[in-house]
Amino acid sequence: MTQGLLKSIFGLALLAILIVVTVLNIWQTDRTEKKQIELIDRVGQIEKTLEKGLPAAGSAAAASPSGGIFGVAEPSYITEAFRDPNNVLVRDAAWLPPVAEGGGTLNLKFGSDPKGFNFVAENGADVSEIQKYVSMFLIKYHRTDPAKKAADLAYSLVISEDKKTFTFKLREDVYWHEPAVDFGTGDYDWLKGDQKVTANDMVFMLDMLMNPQVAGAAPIRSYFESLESYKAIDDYTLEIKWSEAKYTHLMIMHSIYPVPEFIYAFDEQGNRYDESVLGQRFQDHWYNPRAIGCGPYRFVTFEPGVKIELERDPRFPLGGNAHDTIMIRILKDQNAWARLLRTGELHLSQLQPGQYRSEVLEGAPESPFKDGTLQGGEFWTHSYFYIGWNSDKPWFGDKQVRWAMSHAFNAELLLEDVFMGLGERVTGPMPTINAPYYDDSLPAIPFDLDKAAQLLEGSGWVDSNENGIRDKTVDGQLVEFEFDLTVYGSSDEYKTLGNIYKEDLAKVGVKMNVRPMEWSNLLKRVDDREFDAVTLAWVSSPDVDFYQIWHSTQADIPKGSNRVGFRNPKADEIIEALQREFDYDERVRLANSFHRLVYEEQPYTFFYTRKRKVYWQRQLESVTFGKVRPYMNPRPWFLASAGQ
Amino acid sequence: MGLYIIKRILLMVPTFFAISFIVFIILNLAPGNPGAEILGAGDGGQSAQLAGQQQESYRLFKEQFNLDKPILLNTRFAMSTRTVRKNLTQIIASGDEVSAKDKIAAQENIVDWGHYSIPALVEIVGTDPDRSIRALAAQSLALNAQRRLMKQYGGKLTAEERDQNRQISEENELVRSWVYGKDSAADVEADVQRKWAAWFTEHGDRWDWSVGDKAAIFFFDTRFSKYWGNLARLDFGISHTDKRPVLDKVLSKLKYSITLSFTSVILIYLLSVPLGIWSAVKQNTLPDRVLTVVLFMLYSLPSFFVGVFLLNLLTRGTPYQAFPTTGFSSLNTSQMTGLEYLGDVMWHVFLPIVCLSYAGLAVLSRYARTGLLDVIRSDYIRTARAKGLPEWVVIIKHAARNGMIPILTLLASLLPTLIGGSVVIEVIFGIPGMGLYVFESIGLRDYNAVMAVLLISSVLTLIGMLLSDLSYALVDPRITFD
Repeated sequence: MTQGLLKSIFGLALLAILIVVTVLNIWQTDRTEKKQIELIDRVGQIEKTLEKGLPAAGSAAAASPSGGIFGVAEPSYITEAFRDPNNVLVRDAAWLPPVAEGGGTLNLKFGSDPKGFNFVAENGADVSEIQKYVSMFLIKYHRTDPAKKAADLAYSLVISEDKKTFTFKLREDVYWHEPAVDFGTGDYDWLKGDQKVTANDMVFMLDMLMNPQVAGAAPIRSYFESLESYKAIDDYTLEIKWSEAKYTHLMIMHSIYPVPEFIYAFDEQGNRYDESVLGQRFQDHWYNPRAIGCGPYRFVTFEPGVKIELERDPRFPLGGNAHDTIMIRILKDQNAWARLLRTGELHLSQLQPGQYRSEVLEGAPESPFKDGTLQGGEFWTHSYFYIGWNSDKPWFGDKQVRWAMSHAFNAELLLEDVFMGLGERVTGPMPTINAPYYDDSLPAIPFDLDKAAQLLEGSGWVDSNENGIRDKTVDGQLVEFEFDLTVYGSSDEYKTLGNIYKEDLAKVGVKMNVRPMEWSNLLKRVDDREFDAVTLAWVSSPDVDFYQIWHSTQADIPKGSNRVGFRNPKADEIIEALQREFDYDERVRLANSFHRLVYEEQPYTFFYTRKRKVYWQRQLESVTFGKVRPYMNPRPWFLASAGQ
Repeated sequence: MGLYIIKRILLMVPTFFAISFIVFIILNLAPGNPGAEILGAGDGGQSAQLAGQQQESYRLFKEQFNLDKPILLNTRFAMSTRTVRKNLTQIIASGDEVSAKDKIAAQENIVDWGHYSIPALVEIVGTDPDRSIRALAAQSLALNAQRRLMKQYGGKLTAEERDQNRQISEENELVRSWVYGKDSAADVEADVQRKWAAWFTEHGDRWDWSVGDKAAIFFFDTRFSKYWGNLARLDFGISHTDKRPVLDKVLSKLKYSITLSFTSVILIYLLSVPLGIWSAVKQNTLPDRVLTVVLFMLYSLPSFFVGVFLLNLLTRGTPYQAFPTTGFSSLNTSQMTGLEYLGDVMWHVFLPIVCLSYAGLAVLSRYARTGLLDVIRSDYIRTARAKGLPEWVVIIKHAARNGMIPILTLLASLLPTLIGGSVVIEVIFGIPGMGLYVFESIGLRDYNAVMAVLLISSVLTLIGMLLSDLSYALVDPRITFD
């Protein structure tokens, strides 16, 4: 008995000692780890001070007083080029106000995981937003003056007399960012060293763009159909030739950028890919989960579902990168956006309409969205919503009927009550932000059921069989005015819109059925032209080109964008003229006349263009929004007193 | 026992095959196209695109993911010229004669038929009476007659393969140029026709299939057998959205999901067994009744509701700021020691785990209670009591061991529910796990990703079932499998 007791006491004691030793061990490991981390931190800080100190101490060229977050002093060859009257490009407006301070971490959010960062092969909205931070583009839209094209990587663009040859001069002081690979392993030593951005990187980008194996580039490739040749004349001169003169060619220059051949033409061990499969390897490249560019911010890391981290590139010559780090959290649940704004974990976020309603419109007065803790603003998007009428259906071939439909659509009420006033009505085929291309002298079509009834009567739709629904004899057959409105089913707003419209139409003797549908099924139905009417939106660009959506040739090709079957010879003429016209004022005149013509024809009932509500912490200063995507571009912003 | 385990594992193979077969068929028959443009889907907005211009890229995309192949059986070797011609006619027919839907379908057919359509297309180019059909056939030939490169979709090329690729590329380059428009001059057309005829005489033997070849095509040149061929090499394919291997992606998400589901399972068992025993012992007293009511209330609360409720009550920026609002860990994990990281993760996943486990807890503790009650009434328990053993020894040592057998069976059925349930919880708490991944992949029609997640979770479930069966023997010595 005593022996058993002794045994168990001994066992217990041994166990206790073991536990104590383990705990001590864990504690000690933890301490050493902590010390290691501190050490690494300190080394990082020393590196940073060195980086900042070096130019100040030495080389005069790099130490220009306007360096840092305002960019470097403009080299004289660029200043000179801007004086050249043949140069299409002008100097862009400054990003940051003079009082701006550098430093700090800017916390933003994304609502989804980007699908990879090969900018040629991917064109999702989130991917191109990252690209705007990471890449430099060949040219860009001027920040304040829509009539002008601004310099970016190219500081000079000369267009030949026949408008078929574009010659670009590229900056000579731009470097590729350090690739986001783990150099510690030694596997990537072949990527080490500074690399300048040259015209060859532009040529490589165009090579990949035009390579059919790069399936992801197919949508943008269609703009390059009349591309004749492109070549690097020297390291900093790029020449692009077209077989015909078209303004869309200049438009698409906003969408090209250098791509580093020194990474993308090689496999992960540094061996060059065989030419025959280069396109396919590029499309599925090993570097695709990471981004590389030569823009204001360097890509550091991407953890799917968690975060994207960017850091300021001190060598970037154009400035407008005040934040040391941009931390983009991936928040797929949109409710988290407002929550993290409240806790201060996000510096800035837009609110989806649902949250705008619950946080702002219906929020308590002491809510941070209302008591001044958070600042609010808004930006306009390049998109417009519409109801498209399939003109190949018996009801909607007649212009009068389409006008009647527009009169019966209570757009004001819907916009105010259902869409919470987050937008403005449009009257034609572009958003109001496209003014002056957009002709704002045209009045929005008022809600007027009497007028609608009158128009229907006028075009022969009367209730001859007295069943409460208008009808008409078409090709010897009695057709009832009963049709389906296909709406995007994942949004409650559209279902509400459908129901309100349905009731109003019933008052004028038209029967409409609302058909909510999931996105990919909706697109298929629209492509197959199996719809009577559909609510959709178009996303457009700052420059206008109406060919794909409105030209009559696009009405008859499979999956074409002219789904409503708009065929109008006069419109075709204007569209083609606009494609050839390079003069801004003339383009405005043509676009205005096109706007008026479409207004007259009413192939769509134009609904509204959207604005988005944005809220941000007070600490974030100089918050302005762009007129082009990404609208919430952080380059003009800075964090007050982040420098200390 | 060993024999039993081997038998069970062998049985898993056909079960797994059947599962993959059914999932594959359902997935491939679902409406919607993986190649469809999904830009801006959340907004109901889209960018305008020129259609019909990018056929070659579209074809390569379909080829890469075997989407051009029939799903189960391939009879395309017997394709008639008439079928091909009918589809060509539909493509160029005017809108009044053929609906847009049939047009698009015809166009897809011609792309999908790829090299099986070559003999028919060559015949049409040479002999068809309709000029515009001939022109279209030549255009389709220029696409379909291009040969696939060696290792086009990945892998290192040997010197020999490089040479072959060079040849194939040259031939493809030539073939691509043998087209003409509807309005081209007659001699241009004659020239192209001659080239195609000569090319087909030279390479026609590529389409002389023996019976054996045909049988191979019939069974093996299909989506399903290609998929299984890859699967047998443990190759789950790449995701068509970001072109990364899906297995890597799933494994990287597995760590989140496993943390959630395993901790939940352990938590559920740790709490529900004592709870069940306690309420069995206190059967029909007030505390037992209160507990029963509370647990049933919990059981009937949907987890998405509880998730949002907890988020709005217990996280930062709310009345009781005890927990972080979102994510699996903090963002600055590189600054943390291992211990701190562990604590940080636990702090982050506490609420999600609560949401995942409370319902299971309610169910299991009820089963544990009934299980024990059944046993407590049996004779040997009375004997144990009569022996004068203390009550806790009777319950824990004699009754609980038998009473808990039923709830072990539930382990197997618990696993799939946890994986399914975590979809919602992962979305609400912003945890990038498998549930969220499969949910997104279904929307994108990313077949490879969906297949991989479903297959991996069915393997996990099969293993879970085996383990729960084996644990019978562990708990109850009377049960053997021999």
